[in-house]
Amino acid sequence: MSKRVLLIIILFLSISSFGIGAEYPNKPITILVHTKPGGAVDLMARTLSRVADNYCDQPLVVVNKPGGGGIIAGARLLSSKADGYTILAFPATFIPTLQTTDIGIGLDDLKYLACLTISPEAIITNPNSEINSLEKIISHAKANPGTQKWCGPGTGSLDHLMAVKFWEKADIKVKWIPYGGGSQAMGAVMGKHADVYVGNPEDILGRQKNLNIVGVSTEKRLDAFPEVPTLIEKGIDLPNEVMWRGFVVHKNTNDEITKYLVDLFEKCSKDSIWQNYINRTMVTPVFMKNEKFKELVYNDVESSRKYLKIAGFELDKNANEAPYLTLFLFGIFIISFLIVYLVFKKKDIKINGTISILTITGILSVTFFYISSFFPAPREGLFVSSATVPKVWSIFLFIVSVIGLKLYYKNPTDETAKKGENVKSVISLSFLILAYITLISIIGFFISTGLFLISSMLIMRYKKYISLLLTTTLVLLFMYIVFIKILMVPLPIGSIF
Amino acid sequence: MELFSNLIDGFSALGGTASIAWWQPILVILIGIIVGIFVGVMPGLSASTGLALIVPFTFGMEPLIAIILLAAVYTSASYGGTISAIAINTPGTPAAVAVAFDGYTLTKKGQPGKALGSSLFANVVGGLTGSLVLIFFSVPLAKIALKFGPSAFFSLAIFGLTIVSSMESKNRLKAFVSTAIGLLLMTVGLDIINGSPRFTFGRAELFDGFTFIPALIGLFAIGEILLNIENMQIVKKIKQKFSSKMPKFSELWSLKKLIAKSSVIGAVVGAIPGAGATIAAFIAYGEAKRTSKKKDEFGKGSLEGITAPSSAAGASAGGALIPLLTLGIPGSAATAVMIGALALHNITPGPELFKPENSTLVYALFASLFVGNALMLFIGYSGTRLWVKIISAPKAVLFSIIMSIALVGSYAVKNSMFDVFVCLGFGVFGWLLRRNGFPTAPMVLAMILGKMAETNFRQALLSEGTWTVFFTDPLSLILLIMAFLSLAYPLYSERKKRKNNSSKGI
Repeated sequence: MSKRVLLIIILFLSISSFGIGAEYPNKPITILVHTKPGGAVDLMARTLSRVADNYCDQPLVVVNKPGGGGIIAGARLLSSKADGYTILAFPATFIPTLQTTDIGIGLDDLKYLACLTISPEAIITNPNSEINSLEKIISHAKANPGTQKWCGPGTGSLDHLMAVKFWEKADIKVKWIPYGGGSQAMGAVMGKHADVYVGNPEDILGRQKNLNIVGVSTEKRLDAFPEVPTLIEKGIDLPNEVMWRGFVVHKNTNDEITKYLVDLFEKCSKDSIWQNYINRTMVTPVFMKNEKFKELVYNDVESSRKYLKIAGFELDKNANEAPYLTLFLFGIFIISFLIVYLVFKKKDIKINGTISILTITGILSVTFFYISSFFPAPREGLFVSSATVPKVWSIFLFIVSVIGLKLYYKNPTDETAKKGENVKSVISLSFLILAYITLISIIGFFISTGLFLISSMLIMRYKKYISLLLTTTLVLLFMYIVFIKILMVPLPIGSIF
Repeated sequence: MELFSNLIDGFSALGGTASIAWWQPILVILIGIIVGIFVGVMPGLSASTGLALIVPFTFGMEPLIAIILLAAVYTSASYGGTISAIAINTPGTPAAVAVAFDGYTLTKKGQPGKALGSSLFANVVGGLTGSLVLIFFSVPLAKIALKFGPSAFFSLAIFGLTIVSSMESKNRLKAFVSTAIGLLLMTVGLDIINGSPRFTFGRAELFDGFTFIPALIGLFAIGEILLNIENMQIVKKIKQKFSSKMPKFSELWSLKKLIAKSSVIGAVVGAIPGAGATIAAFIAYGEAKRTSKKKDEFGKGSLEGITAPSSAAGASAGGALIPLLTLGIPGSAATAVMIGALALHNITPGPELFKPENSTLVYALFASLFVGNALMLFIGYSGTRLWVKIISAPKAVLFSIIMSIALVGSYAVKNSMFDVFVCLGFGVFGWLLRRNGFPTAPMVLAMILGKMAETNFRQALLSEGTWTVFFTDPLSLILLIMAFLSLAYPLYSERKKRKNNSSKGI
């Protein structure tokens, strides 16, 4: 290699690395959100992204990574480079998730940027029901222990923990009915299917006819609801239970970048659009940066561990797994097919697709039944557990599979099957799709899609090569314009491109 | 009447106000419809994604313009979903699964224009009916919606499941097997009641279970393509002629009673939070088949089988706005996004909307639903030719493009590569099932209703502490009786028919 080339390379490298260091955001910054579009955190992130347009040369793009209560989004943050181009919206709901799931995300893996909003926890009831004040909640619960119905989103959620804390301080015994989401739980209270809902003050906006706040967990009464007492006033010592929402990055992100982002957020938090958002959603604006935010998070962890245990979570203990699962599966597979083969051999019926599928669904049902018999036993006082429904469905599947085999044995004709000749093409196409999906995460979306379109058309023996290439180009162009330019939907990114 | 004068105010607001030029509302509705149809057509993009994507654009708009834009996207997405169901057997929305049975069959017979046209007409009539129900009956319907507690929701889910029995008469047992597989697969994931993982094998991606849309795309789009390829000797030569001829008006007019009935079913069931469009469409399909004089045509491209679920799906969009506007409770994923979006415009959904200072806004929204549906008829009508042209492309090209879009769609739901593998897995599984005569639609229905059944079953037992709650709650009891009838009636009527035939000596 000549010296000149080497020199050019070194020069190029130094310029480019200098470039990155000097002007940190030189490409769009991703904000990961752990809920589907439309949730409260998502709205905050999207508002921030819009406000930040005024203060940052590069766009902040919101990418939703829902799943597992935040585990997926958290894992995505930790697996991406610590270069400040990936930020995670980090609300308080992460705390119980990280405690109850052992998935390798720790609070020390994060660097805390800033907490932007908080909203206090609130106890909410139906004004038209008999239980519609703190006093009535407590006196009713003491008179009828274990019957009053409290509800909120999920089990082990932030709101559930708030409820557990309340029960401990008020010394009452009630039931917790988990719902899929806050609005479903609110609907239950509005329809008097449950008595008390645990949420935030803004939840009752527009629903005042059917919902009222009976207490908030703050030191002073809220400006927006001056008639609502605080919990302390009523002798329940919970002065500061809040749902906070902030942002974090990978712990290895350098201080310069962190400072840039914190400054950016600070500017945004003073913007009029942001203020407007704060007023409309009735959250309390705060600006707690770095260490202060971290302190808030770590304090919450302390108390959440204690109350998760009270709520019945067995922390630090692995779930019961079904023993010898592979061996079991292997054994049941051989035995079932052997039995089916021997039985059908008597009538000289060959094992075909229908028989195989019914046998496999039979095996599936037995396996699900086997695994679910190792699920945790029902908690005290409950007669159904997580295993009940899977067991019922697997018995149902087993019965219909066996009846199906029996019917086929009696009358081995299959009018409904739609078999064709071209099984080879189907198999090669399936493997092509598999290769395509695998390639996407290596060489990126557009190149692999192009390759896939060409080879798939070739497999289907399409031989007009010019229109084949034209179609491929047009489809790629269409996807680029529609998904990236117009809709701004994130597409999969490869490790090379 | 005050209501009518309010409505007239609403319509006149659409014609422009002091701060809004006359052309703005119509233009916004047009854009909304096109965006809505597009997200509906694309597998993987749904009304809720479309709304979330468009929310940031509404920040700078007048509240009135923003609210009608969102409503237009929301209502037209359900029509978009039926287009891809009919044209390429890829339901863009779960509700469109019920439309695919007869719609796609009619397309395969070479008459996509007829299928698309009748579905469009039914959808628009449904949409208008839904809007009327929303305007005139929202208060009593909201009261009924609130009566639905866990026990009633459980019984509703069971009722929905029993429709499988009337859906597939030829191979009922295989349909039940397919249902049971769907139910069992839906138990994968974190148990919502006590938070413990089930059948997840330690994979965080499975904590929320199989993502529904990729599974749906796999079972239908990928499975259909694989099945097609298997049955084609030389793919390149297959270039079917498709007719874009629309159905005659007299054909549709003869279905007026069915469309009206299905629209009412759609609006009422749509008003129950959490049940929504899908159950409505399936109930309408089952009901249409039960009462039809030409039962044998169902599944073979019957217009009744297309219009009933289409009008129910169209009407349920209006129905789902009832709990949103009167109670502030979103009944579906899409309406949940609407709530957030409205909050940003300082509009708090709920009874307060109907107070005088806000009423123009609400009635303008109602008026925009009527205008939007009328415009959708024209846009959909002119779009039909385009869709027919697209599906007339050589199969090799069409299939390749559908597959790549289906995979992108699977990714787009949660931005997860795992879901793309789920889509492929369900695709191959769906192909294996279908080539052996196991229908996949019951599996989809079971996947939609399985989780609802289990969650509400356990919530009901938790709150009441006794098994009898399902029979003492009157709503739940009625639904359970209906479930029993819908399971048993088809069996009974077939047996009777067989007896009659044998006594006649056939």
